[in-house]
Amino acid sequence: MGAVKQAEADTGERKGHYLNVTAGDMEEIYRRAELAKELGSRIIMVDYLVAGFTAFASLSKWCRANGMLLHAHRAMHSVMDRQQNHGMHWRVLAKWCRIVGADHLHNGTVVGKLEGDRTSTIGINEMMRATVIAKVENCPGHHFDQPWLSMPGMFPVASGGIHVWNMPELVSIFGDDAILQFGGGTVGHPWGSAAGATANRVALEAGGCASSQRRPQPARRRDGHPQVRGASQRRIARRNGNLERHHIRIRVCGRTRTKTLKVSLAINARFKQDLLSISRSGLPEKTFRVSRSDQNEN
Amino acid sequence: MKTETFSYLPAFTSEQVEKQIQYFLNNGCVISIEYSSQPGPALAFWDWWKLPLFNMRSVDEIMAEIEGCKANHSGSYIRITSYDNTRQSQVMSFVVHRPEG
Repeated sequence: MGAVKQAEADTGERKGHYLNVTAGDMEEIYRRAELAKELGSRIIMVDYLVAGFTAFASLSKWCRANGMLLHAHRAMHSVMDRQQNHGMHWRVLAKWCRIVGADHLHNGTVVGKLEGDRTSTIGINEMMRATVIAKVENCPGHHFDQPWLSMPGMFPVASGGIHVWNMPELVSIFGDDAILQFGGGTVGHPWGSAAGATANRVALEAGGCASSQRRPQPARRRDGHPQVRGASQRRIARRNGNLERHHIRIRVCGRTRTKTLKVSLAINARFKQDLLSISRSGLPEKTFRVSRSDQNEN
Repeated sequence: MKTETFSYLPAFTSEQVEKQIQYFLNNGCVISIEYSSQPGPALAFWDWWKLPLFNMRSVDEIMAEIEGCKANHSGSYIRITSYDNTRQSQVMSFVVHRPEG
């Protein structure tokens, strides 16, 4: 909490740190929550599925009674929602979270490392915060109108494997009322955490500014900003030579049989040299040895 | 001091401020103008410049009010906030004027 206060004094902005109060029993959860409150934190965090349905409802009530914000982390959700033919859909778990009451809830990021495709993530984002959910139009995946009236919404949280290059996409997926959390995307900056945080903040504000002032945004791809992507491809091409199409012989050696395939691939000059150096036939050639366990897996 | 949204971007031109106000109005928000000479993390409430502009739905009127506030409080930070009456909370705000230096 000392660091939070220091950051507030340095920047003049309100900062926060989510202390995770998840524990083995309800008494310990309350004890940790009280401790966070005593330390002067404005917000606590809970793994709401790990804590369990009843415990989360109790903690939600505690937060309302004590004027604390509640950040719900969805750890363990994929145990329930990943299997296609059994379990509960993430939409149901998220909706239950809003009904019980939390302030932030983690959702898929589409571009990061978390579960969830683009359409359903956008639909669940809207379900977390919209006053009226109108069939499929504003909320893909919902098949009838659902008015939430004055029930408070939650902020969808994007977190996990996201970094500054994803920002245009994140701003367009999550819109105005959302929380974007950059962990590795901040401390992984080559100039350090402060530069990382500044880079993220500048990118976020530029994205928000562009979307609210309706400037056309550059075309986006899943694998990052086109300019950045182009730069990295050019760097690789400088180092390894340009891509050219070559015929390559691929030998797949099993325990009893060997098969030779001829394929046409775009490879660069350096990779071609590597293949020639290990080839016995004088042609670009790559040998794969397949063991019995590999065959079983396939 | 960097405070509030858009503080990590170059200061907005008046054209950008107008576009941003139009965005607030398009979202059905009520705009209000606030000022403070010493904003900080502990200060949630800034002083009001007049009452919230409940009836103002045009950008020009609001820009004129911002100019009026600047003329009277040029040594203060001035921000515009937008209140959403369906969600019953303040939803967006940013600083439009910072004191010199």
